Amino acid sequence: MAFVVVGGGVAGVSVISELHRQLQRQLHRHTPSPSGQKIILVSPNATLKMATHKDGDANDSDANDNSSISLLKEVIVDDLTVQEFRKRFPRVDLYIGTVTSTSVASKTLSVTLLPPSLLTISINYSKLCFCVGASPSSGPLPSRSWLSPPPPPSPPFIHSIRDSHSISTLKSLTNLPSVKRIAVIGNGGIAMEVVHALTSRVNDRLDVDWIVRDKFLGHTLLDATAAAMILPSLENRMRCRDDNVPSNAFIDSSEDVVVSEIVVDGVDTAVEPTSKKQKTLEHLQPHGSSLGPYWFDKFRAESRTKGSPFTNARCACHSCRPGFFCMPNGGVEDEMEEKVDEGGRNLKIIYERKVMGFKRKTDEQFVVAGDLNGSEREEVLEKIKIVEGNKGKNQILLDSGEILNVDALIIACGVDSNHVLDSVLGASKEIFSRGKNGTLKVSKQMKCLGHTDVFAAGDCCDLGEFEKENELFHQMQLWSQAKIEGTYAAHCMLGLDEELMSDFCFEMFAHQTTFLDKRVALLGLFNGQKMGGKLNEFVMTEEGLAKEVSEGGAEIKGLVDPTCEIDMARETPPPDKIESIVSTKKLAEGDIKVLTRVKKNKEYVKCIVSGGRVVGAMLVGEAVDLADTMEQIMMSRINVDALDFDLLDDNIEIDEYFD
Amino acid sequence: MASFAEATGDCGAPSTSPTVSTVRPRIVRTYEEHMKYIKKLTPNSWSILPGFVPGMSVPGTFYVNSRLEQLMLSELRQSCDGTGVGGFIPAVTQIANVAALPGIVKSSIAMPDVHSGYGFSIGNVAAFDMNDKDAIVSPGGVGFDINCGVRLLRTNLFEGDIKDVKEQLAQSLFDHIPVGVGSKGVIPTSPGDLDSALELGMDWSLREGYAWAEDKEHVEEYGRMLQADPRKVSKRAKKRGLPQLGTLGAGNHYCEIQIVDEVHDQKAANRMGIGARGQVVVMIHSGSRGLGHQVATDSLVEMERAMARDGITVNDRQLACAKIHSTEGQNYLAAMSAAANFAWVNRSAMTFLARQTFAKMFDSTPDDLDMHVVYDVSHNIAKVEQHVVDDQLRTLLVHRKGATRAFPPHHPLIPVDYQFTGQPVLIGGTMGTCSYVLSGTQKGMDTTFGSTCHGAGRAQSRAKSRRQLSYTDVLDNLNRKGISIRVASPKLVMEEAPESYKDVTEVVNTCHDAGISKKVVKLRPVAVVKG
Repeated sequence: MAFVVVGGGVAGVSVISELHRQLQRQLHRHTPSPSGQKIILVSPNATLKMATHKDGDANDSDANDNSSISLLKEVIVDDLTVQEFRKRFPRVDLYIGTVTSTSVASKTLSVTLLPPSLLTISINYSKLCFCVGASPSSGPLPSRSWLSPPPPPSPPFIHSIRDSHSISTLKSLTNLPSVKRIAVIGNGGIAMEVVHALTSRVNDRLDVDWIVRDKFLGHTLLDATAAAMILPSLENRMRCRDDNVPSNAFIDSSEDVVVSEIVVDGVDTAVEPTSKKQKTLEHLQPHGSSLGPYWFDKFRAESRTKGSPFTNARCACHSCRPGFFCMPNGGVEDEMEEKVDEGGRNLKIIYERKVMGFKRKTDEQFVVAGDLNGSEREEVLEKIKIVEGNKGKNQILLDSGEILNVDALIIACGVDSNHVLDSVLGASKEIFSRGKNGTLKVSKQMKCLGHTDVFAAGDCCDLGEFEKENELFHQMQLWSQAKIEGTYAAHCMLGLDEELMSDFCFEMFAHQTTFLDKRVALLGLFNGQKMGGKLNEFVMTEEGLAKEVSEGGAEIKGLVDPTCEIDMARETPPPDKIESIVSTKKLAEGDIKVLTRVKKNKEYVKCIVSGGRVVGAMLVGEAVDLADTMEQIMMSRINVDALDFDLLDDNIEIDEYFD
Repeated sequence: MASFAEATGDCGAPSTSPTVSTVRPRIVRTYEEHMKYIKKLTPNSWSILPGFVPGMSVPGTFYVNSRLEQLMLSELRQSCDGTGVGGFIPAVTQIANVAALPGIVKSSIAMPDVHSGYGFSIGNVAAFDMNDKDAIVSPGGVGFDINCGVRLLRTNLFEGDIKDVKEQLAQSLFDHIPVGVGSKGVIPTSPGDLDSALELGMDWSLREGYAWAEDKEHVEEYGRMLQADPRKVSKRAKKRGLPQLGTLGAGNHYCEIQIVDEVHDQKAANRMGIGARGQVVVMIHSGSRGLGHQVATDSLVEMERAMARDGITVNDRQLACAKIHSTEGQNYLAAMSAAANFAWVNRSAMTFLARQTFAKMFDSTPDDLDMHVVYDVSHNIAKVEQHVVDDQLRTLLVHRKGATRAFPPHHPLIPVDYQFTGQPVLIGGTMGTCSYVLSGTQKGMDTTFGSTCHGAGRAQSRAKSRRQLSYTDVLDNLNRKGISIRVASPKLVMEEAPESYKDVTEVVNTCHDAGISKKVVKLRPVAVVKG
């Protein structure tokens, strides 16, 4: 029996790892069968990805990798060289090459090995699993061809990010003297990582424009309130070189003026702030800054729509593609120390903007963006005609009419599997059922629909069947999902899935990660996924609370510290005495409630309750301690209606209540 | 979305409303009116008289000291005076609601660490007459984490012996005690093995060779409830349980290396082999987690459906229950017993791993290190026991949720070595705080069905004061958006806000003063492994 896996990413290596482990166990228990079992991995990259669960026991060869006390666990990914891989999986045959075609009839793959060999070989399979991942989609670019690099010697204008291989290209790009200003389009995990990589560079000055379609960062994994909670801690980490002079310029894009100093009415920073507003700002002052509150005031007022200088941008989203940056827990502060004195980097975040048109140096006019539809496209086509671009410059036209001159553009707008699967399947592609973004549709046994011996796992597969059957599950292209898919696919390939009941991991969406210093746990339908557009919109953009949290407004209601001595019947307690605010909103349609609890700078809990049962939860900061209880409540489908609003009341201690 | 219960037939949530109302409406009263039904009996105990809530056939009783009593009453006052927001029911009322359940005997009893829970409060003991055809069993009276309990291992090491290797020891424990996965060959991972574990409990552990024969004697029920039937445990519960077999579980479960800090009863401590100050012991606190949760939920659903059929009325929907001898009742007890066995297998697995860890670290054997099980208690369980009530020997189904069995000296069900001193009772404080070992007393046997407290649960930080605040512009703003910002119902307004209330020492002292258990030793942790 030959088990063949295509793809050396997280999913692919997970399949291999589990196949390897299960076959070792079989060997251990029985005499090896004469025909033997072969495990083969074909990877287009010489660098392979190994995902393990943080604090997990994945090194234990007896461990069932998909078992865990909790579905929620943080995944870390490491790179493996060919040698390391071979050492860890001695029984696996590894080929570094590209699959150029697949023949289901003869159960063979045609593989072209990498240079210098360039040999083409044929591999027979008994069971085959595609883990080819996905490639960057062209997003708003006019067409896919724009992603292809132009002939040398001109440096490529447009880049897409796919894996760690691409990041080294990125690094070399930013070292070119001709590249002074880079624009990044996208707001998912990858975009965040790219921006981080760009802004934590050492050496010369580089301007980065980050164009974000949404109202807040981290759109796929957070909501407005969570983002607002995390952003201040980002800002709080800023360091400045000299007293009263920010090392980073503050760019006012409407005037295209670089403001390098902010002086406000000669206010002496040593003076005790008197107004409530000042008090609030002081509370939010960046750690270690000697600037005084007013600098921060100006910064904050602008930060929503204009540039905000953040050096040391730190976003460690383990959910994203691995290898972009390393965010070790220890050593974070050291890294930051190093970077403080490096030259400035200017990052401007442009919220709620779409790109309408692109113009390369070689283009006469702007070309309309490729992701517009119908009437929007018509409208833009009209407008674009009258826009005068600057010949000889690379430019981007935003929907505000603003034109940005950029030397390089990075697209991080999601991925799709059309391209990679078409090339791997070759002529066979007709007989495979494709799902969203060109992925392969699979059954609940990870088999490509209509096939018995061909499987798929990871970003290249569509888990629609699981989404249909499992109320609290939805697919997101995260490492954590790629890993469990890989392990489960291995069980299916070996026919062990029934016995091991390992499809349990698809019962509920569960993901854990860290943004800056805040842990984030996401369970089930945390942003109202699968529940209809209106709810999704509400839970994502509930800015009332977000505003309160981020601006430290004094008008927060809720739990009050008992040491507060004012007469609360007549006065409003000061912000630092108000510990948390709990709220609930019942939606007009459907039996749906959204409960939230916010403790300024400390934690944020959001529960989506449908028909009396918690179907989604987002936990940020200290609230992550509640994650286990939430998981139990959600998995048990307990009716929490009776508790109603009190579910998130701190005094109730729901982990005890449901013990 | 399709109803989940229909989709799988295997699990689901309690339905939104039964066709025939089996829940009495809540009565609304002022605090003063309520207080007419509450009477102080002794400095340490209060009685809740029938009539506090409808249907009470016996009174409620709660054990408190003067400070804890304030908390109970404050909670009640707040719920009467407040805007009535939320569905939170104060402990006093929950205790009374339990006293209204069919077949309850003597009293609905609450320990000093009582606090609100699902249906029953945590810290509630309720016994039902097995010979009363109307008597019920209720999953809420056991809790979701079935057989959440504590086990204590002793060693002959002293603090000085481990001082320099404390961290390695903790690390080693952490590495060996699975926080997610079974260890090499020791813990089964196949469903077949799971079924055996569910049925046989510690007998399975013994068979597989990782429990000592003498361990069994030092565990309640000898580590196996005979009524267990794996077939009554749903597939879904098994799915949730399989990955957790042999693990600590998450949440508030932990394993601690502790030192004997104070000895209060030298004789009893000596009998348990932990009579020397500075002695090292290991405490394991864990349960059945997801499997127990699912078993409880499955039963609640099943029982809710049967309540109308059997004419059972309760004061709170969360008190879903069934007649003990009905199919639903028996199914629950069989599944609950299986879940209990599961928890014992888990604790046995961890015992094995702890023994191995220590043995390796000190280049010795667990036997030479005298790593015997002092005792293993359960604090979320229902058991059939014999008790004398009104001079008659009765067979009762005793529910203990967040309460521990504490049998007195000479009781036939406790091990030979403890016949003179009484059953050891293990009180694990919150992770990282001190723990206690107590012993059962005759007074406890006579007054609380041989039960005492279980520990403080999570140490609560200062009681928060909540007041109704006047609306400001922003609040109006939010209201206009349709968000009702409820300034969480006023609760627990204390004169002084204590650092932590219901802390374990206070609770243990109250039980001691009430005579329902006796302090033996106090333990302090030096290392914690958290699940």
